[in-house]
Amino acid sequence: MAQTSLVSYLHNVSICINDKDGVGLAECVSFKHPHVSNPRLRLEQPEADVQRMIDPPWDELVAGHLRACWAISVEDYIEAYTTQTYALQAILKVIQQQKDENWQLPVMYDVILDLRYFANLADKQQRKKSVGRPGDVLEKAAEQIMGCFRACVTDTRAEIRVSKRWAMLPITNQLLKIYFKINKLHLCKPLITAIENSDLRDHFSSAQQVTFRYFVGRKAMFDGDYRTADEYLSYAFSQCHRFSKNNKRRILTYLLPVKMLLGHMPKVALLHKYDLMQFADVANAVRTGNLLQFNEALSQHEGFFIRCGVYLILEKLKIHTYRNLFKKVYLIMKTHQLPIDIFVDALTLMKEVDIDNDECQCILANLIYENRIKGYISHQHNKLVVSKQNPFPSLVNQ
Amino acid sequence: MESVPVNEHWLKAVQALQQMQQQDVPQANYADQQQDIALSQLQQQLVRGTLYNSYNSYNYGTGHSFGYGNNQSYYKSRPPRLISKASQPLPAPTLSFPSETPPPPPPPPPPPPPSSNAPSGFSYAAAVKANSSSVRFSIGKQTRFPAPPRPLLTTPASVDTNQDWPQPLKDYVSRCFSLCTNHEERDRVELILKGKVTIAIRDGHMHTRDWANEALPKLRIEGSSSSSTVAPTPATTLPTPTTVSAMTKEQPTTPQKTYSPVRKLRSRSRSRSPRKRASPEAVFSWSSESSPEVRNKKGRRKNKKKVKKFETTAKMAQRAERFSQPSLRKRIPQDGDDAIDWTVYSIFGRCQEIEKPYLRLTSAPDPETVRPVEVLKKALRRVQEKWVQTHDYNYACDQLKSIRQDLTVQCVRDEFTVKVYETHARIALEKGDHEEFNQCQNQLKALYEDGILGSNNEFLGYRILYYLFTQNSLDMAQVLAHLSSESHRDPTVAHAVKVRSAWALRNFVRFFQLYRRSPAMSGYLLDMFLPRERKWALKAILKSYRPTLSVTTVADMLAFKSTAECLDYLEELSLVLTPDKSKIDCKDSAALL
Repeated sequence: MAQTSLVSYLHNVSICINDKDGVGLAECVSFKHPHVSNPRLRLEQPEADVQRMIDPPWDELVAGHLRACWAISVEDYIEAYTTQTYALQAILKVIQQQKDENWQLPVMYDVILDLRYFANLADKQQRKKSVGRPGDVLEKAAEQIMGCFRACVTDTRAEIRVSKRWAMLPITNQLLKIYFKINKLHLCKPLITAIENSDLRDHFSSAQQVTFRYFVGRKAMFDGDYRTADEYLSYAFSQCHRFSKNNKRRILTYLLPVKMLLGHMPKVALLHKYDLMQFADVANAVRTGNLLQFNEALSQHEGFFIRCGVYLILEKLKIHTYRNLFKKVYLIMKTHQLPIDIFVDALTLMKEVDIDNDECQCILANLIYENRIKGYISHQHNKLVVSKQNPFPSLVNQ
Repeated sequence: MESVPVNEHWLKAVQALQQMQQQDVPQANYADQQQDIALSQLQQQLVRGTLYNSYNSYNYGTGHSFGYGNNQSYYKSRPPRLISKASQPLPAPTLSFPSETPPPPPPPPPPPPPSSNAPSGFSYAAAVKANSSSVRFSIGKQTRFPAPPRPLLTTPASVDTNQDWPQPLKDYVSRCFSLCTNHEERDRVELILKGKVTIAIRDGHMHTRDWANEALPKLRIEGSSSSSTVAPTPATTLPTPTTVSAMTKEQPTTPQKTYSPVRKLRSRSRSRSPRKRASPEAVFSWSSESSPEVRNKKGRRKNKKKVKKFETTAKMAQRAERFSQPSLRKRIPQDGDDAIDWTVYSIFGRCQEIEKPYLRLTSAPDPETVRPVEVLKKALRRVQEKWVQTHDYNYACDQLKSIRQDLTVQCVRDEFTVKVYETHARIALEKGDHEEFNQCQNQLKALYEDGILGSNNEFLGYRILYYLFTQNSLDMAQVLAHLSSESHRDPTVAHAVKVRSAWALRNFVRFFQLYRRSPAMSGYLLDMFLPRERKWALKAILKSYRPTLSVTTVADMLAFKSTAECLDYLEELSLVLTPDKSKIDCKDSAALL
């Protein structure tokens, strides 16, 4: 592959075009295919050569790809990104012009994927030169890709088999990746709605579904909707291919906090398998109600959690830790009328500074409000009176 | 090379030019001659009064092919369009001559210039025939062909087309151009000069203004400054200086490639200014080809403006650029002052009014109504004094907006701008106007990121509290992730962080305690969402306390200033109280909330 000449490469491309071989053509213009390591295909000005062998409208695409190869080889990622946008325009035009055909879709997927990669690289390069805003290039890329999405969504008249709407989910996934990277989650909403309402939603390929559920689950998690997040992330985790360990780890990183908030603590074996031992300390602390350990665990792995964006979610586990701690206190005291001072002492033992009686009452009030404790506080007697039956209902199923 | 627009307009222009040249002392050197050409063109365009639509819009059909592949002939048989579609509704008359000038004779081929000093001088024929042309104002560049004067719309303007420019003005122009070191700067200077001279002519100052001491235009070249001012916030009054150009220019920052000049060219012509103002750039953009390029005949584009492009061999790039332009365009916030590229005008205000009401600008600003920075400083002090005395929010807001506008229009972004925004933000906070506050804080964020000093940490603290108000957990996570240890030491930030963690854990006791002890203006921010917090806290309290809870305790917990105030609040919510009104009956009240 690295030794093919330009002419034979172009010959391949034209054969694919004539045969309407979408997958083959996609390989020819994809950056992942080994042909990109061929120095003969790294052309700064490929148009003339390409034009000789490839007819419009494909010539732009191929020429763009070759120029992008060249740009990458000289490490000018910004140029590569720009060229790739032209290639994208080219393929979009093709797709819009050719009705009732969708063999070109794989080509578009690959072009979009490459665009996203180049945009990432260009963004990094720009950031190094401190030029422009971070995320600028990615935003623009997102807009281009959005154009493709619109073109595909509107293809309602064609028959299912040749419809372009099959491209909806792959394009959406690419867009979701970009939006998550640039932190513009509000832009995801219309895409998600479009996919959910589409009739093809259950017929897309499994891989795309997993990706989609993963991102929607993450978004639900950020929005505080833990039930939905649980549902989607669990699906993603279970359907994800066994060998995609990295992907599974990523899904698990978000699934774990959600599950913990819903009361399910992970097994250490699981954490060990996926190299997520940072959660082990946290899980242990929550389970045993050890506030001190909890605080220490959070601060120790703060960097990791912040990078994943789960730090704030894990903070919410503190409430669970309080509940577990107070449950232990209750079990020790063996009475239903617990003076609040006992709880204050427990908290002081856990080195929670500045907790006075009022704050302790506040914590208890919150727990009662959230139905984690069945009982009431008597302000006059400064006591917590718990129910005689199951005062600390299980954390699960709430 | 573009086709010769052989028609009357052009010839008229040529004649005017020749006349002007004849009036002047024949210049011995090419540079001066070039300068004269530049001046004359500038002059003519200005004189026409219509600073738009004067670029050619050659429509070369709808092919997309690249190169000469499909379009074999350079020159289409149809005549060049002098007016682009979008310009039609504009008042400029089209293709009609002013009554005072006689109809020109049928156009002969363009005559050679009278003074043929330089070999590469005004040789229209050569310019026409040559494939490569660098058509721009190229003062000092000996190797380039000058641009033939473009066919311009004529108007019934009574301005004399042969109006002579005073020598000081010409000197000023040449000084400005001598500042330039590259094409971008030259483009900018051209535009700025256009603006100035237009205004001078319009006001009749051209001869009286002291051009010798006129300030030279500021050149904005640094990528970081121009691009980092792109702040995509709604209704900002800061310039988003040619955001299109900033963005597209940033792309090929590395070595000049054949693609890049075209891109810059494109950015120029695609400036977002409304049609009226588009022409200065458009005119100059047509002239600002900077390298030998091949003409492109692909006319098909999605937007209305058709700018003739001289392409390099990478025609596909340009075509795609055209396709991508609409999306770039849509991105730019179109809102009020944003829609106008202020750097074009480089206004130096002359108004001396200390108080000026705010008027949303819809057209080019008049320097007579724009206040210079010294006056603005006095204006700010006046606003501050009046605020302290009267607390008239409408007045203060109005005045501050107008100060902000004047700063935007003059492209001033320094500590004073920061001060203005901070003042406005604080006043908005006092009044609880969170939209205005949000606008100001976004602008301040952009300014701080540019490195301009101000109360960075204080406003960082406010930002954290604002995210609590909007419950924006994502941006909050971002801010917290990037908090430096130095910021943590700032009292406002430290307080805000504590408030956040109290809020996250629903620790309302601590939350309200912190509210009582808010530094700076954090209290006002907390006021914005205090009712919401109180309600939540009250719900939790009513659920968990039995049988009754004294009002005093609640007042204490929820940071009411007095028990009476708390009592009013509770009664408003129609909660059930004990007959002596000192306690809340929690059980019954819980059902009500």
